[in-house]
Amino acid sequence: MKADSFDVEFVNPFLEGTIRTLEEQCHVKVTAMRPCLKADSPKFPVEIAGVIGVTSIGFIGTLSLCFTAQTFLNIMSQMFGTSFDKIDDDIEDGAGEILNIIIGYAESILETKGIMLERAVPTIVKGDEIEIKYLSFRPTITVPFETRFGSFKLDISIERGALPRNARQL
Amino acid sequence: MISKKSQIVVIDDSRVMCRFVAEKLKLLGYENLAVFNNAELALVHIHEQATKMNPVELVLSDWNMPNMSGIELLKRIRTEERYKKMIFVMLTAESKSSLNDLALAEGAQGYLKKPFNESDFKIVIDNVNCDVR
Repeated sequence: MKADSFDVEFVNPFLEGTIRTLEEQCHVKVTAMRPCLKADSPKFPVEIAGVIGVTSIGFIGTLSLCFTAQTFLNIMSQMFGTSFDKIDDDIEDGAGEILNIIIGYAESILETKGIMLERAVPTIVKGDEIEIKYLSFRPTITVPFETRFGSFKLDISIERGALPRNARQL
Repeated sequence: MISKKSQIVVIDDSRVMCRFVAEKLKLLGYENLAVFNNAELALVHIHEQATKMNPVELVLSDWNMPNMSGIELLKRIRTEERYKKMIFVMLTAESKSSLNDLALAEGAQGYLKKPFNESDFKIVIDNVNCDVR
């Protein structure tokens, strides 16, 4: 599949899920920016990310929800109505849980299109300017999001086999 | 019917979600909360409370957890006569509607899909409380 042919019908449920999850669960209003290829996107200093592998008939993939430390702290502070100033054991799994909920939401939309996903348990990666490498021959899609608490991004890497038929192209 | 003094157990392998649910319960006035990241430990606590004649009256559990899932926990609880009045609410990011039916068929009184806000949460707690009056 060519780099510019990623399926908008596949990406959109995750985009909607991100907006809905951040608003409902964290009280954070989110604006989705235009999805782009990760290789073409501006450098983003990832300091904490939730990572979840997904499988379906015909493809496997990895999704990563990536934050700077400050944006993540701001979002957790908003979720709990209290101020956090460091990412500790009590809140770090929030990056994975938010992504888990996003994927769950997306699954409910994809299910209506005949795409059944299975997902793995979330993994959290944390550090200074982490680079997440996706072992895929296909390009990774990045969806940037803006909030008043800072920006974050969702990376979607899909590998092996075709995406759903009758797909429109980005 | 549960009261503000009822023993309540919250289970989610995500510490953030445990905290979120516990804080919402506290805001609703519930005082006696025990929080677990693991269903097996929660089940031990449930048995201990029953032995102390201070039974757990409400369980809110995530579905998808390592080792023992929420549905496995529910099945274990429903096999014991002494827990037949215990209210069980499943909290889950699972999307499949058939799972909702499965949880109710196995004896859950409520089912709440993530993401949820305070209002959704209160409605489910109020509903399960009404249903058992």
